[in-house]
Amino acid sequence: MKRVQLTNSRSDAKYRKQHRLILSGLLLLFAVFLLLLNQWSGFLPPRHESRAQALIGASDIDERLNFQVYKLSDEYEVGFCISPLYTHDELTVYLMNYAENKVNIQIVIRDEEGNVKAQSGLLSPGEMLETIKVQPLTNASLHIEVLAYEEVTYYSAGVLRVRTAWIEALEE
Amino acid sequence: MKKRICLIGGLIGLNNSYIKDCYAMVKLSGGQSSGGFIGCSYGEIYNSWSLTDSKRGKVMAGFAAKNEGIMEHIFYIDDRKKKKKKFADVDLEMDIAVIKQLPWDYEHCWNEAEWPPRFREDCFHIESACGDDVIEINTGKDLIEAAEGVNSGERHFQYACFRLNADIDLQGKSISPIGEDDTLPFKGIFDGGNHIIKNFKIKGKRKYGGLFGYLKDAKIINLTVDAMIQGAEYSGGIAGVMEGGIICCCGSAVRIEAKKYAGGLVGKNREGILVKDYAVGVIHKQRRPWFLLLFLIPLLLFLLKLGIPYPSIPVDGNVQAIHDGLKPEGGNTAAFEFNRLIVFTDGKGQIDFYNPGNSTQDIVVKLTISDQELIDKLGENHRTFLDQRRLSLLGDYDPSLFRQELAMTGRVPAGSRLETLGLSTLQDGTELPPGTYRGIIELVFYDSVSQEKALLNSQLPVGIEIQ
Repeated sequence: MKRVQLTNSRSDAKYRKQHRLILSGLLLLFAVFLLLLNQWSGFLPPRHESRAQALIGASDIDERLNFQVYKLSDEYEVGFCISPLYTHDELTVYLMNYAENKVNIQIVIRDEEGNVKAQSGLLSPGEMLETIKVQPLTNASLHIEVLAYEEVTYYSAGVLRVRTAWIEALEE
Repeated sequence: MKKRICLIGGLIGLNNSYIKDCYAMVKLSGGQSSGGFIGCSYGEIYNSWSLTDSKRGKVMAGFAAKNEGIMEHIFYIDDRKKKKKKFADVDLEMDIAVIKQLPWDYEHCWNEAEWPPRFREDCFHIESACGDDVIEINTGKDLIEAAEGVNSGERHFQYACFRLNADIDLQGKSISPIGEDDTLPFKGIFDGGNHIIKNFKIKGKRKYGGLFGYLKDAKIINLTVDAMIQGAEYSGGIAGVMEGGIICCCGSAVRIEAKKYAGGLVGKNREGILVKDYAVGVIHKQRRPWFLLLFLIPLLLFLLKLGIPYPSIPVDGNVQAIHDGLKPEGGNTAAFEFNRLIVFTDGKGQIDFYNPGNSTQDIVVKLTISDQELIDKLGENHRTFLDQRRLSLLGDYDPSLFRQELAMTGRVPAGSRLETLGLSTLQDGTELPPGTYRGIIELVFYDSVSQEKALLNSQLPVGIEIQ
């Protein structure tokens, strides 16, 4: 009875073929990564603020919080409390991004030394952030920064910086 | 640190018994000791040969990396393309004339017409010793059932006499070895019936890898396998370990990823007999996928680049860097120069905008024209119908305050010059006809480092001449 003796392994050939495919795929992926990284500016868009809510009227905000509206350009105006209330590691800021605006905004709270104590996500036009969680604040004075981003490109649309102080509990 | 053993042989990894009339044509790569035919032998080897292509092994031998037994009438052919390192047993590489003088059994085994000699096709077979009580294997399913039977410790299967009645293609399936553990070895007879079991894998962390894991006094005959074996400590195409018994007239075409003891046919042979067997394929030491480290480079680049507060507006394509020797001197400085009359020829206007090196601001330049100027010069504002409607709804439309954009540049970084501007059409698509107009240059400033937009912009009157 005749019987053929193999000279190579088909399993090996199949493995090599698969290996070559995977390797070329990985190399391609590597090249794409490098290309994308080369073109990438290094900017990652901030996340959307999960605690964003619908706007309320300025009259609904306690006067002692000093709610102010700032018109920063023809494209947008923002409102927030320049004397925010600090209770239980939260600042009540009532940051408002008005519906007519063409920018997204974000708030950053810094202490006297410039250390970031809180940073919100992005608020789209028509959204408000009532409170923001902050790391413990020892000093009453703080800096509030409102960063504006163009809607599609995320290019800077300007920054408003206010030096102020927080207030403790509101007395009746 | 414990030293890891990795012993590789073309046919057998480790042998302490009897081998006769066998050959190996296996490519070997890596391992502590590798031999074209055998890794380490304490037994007897007669009338056998290997075609050896081996690389990257610490101790590499053409036939046997280590021999403390008897070897007679054996030889190897060095099949390496690059012979950087000499084989440890270089004295076994003999002249063809001498080899042909050796007592090869051309009548019952070797094919005289071929060189190096392979088995005569009509002699590569042995009669089965199975009686009437035979378990027939016709399909892959039967084979898997047989393996399950042996591996579950069913005595009926462990001592069975199996006969393969057809070639079996397992289509790349991963299967468990027959007798996967030394406590449940296969002890029967397996007659391959000159058929092949191909296209299967033995994968995963296990001790014994091969079609058979552990053979004890078993008899395997007339069988060919073509498989891939990965991750087993003892691995071979036919069996990981054979203890006693015989393997005769079998072939193995494999790709093995060796961990400890690996051979093309059997990983470790203890007291077994091998006659008229061959192995072909590849055996390489288990490798780490080093190329995945390449992906650390993009990751590193990603981390290095990460963290800028704003994306940059792309630099204008017509910008030229200038080396004016100026450097920012602290604080914020914005400086610029440009032509107060911009003359457009064929849609290109000469602006000669200059942002000096001591500026801390990059600048985006916009050229605009008021609706009032358009009405005065052209009789209408050339806005689209929809925009006209929008403005009329606003109610406070003042043509002297509303403007249309005629040109907008990309970013002009500090220390660079922009010579020309491209003219775009008016909102309704009309091209600005030849003439002289009063325009307004709007400058938008971005911090050169952070790309933060300044909230104060500049607006300056400019003359526009269309030729």
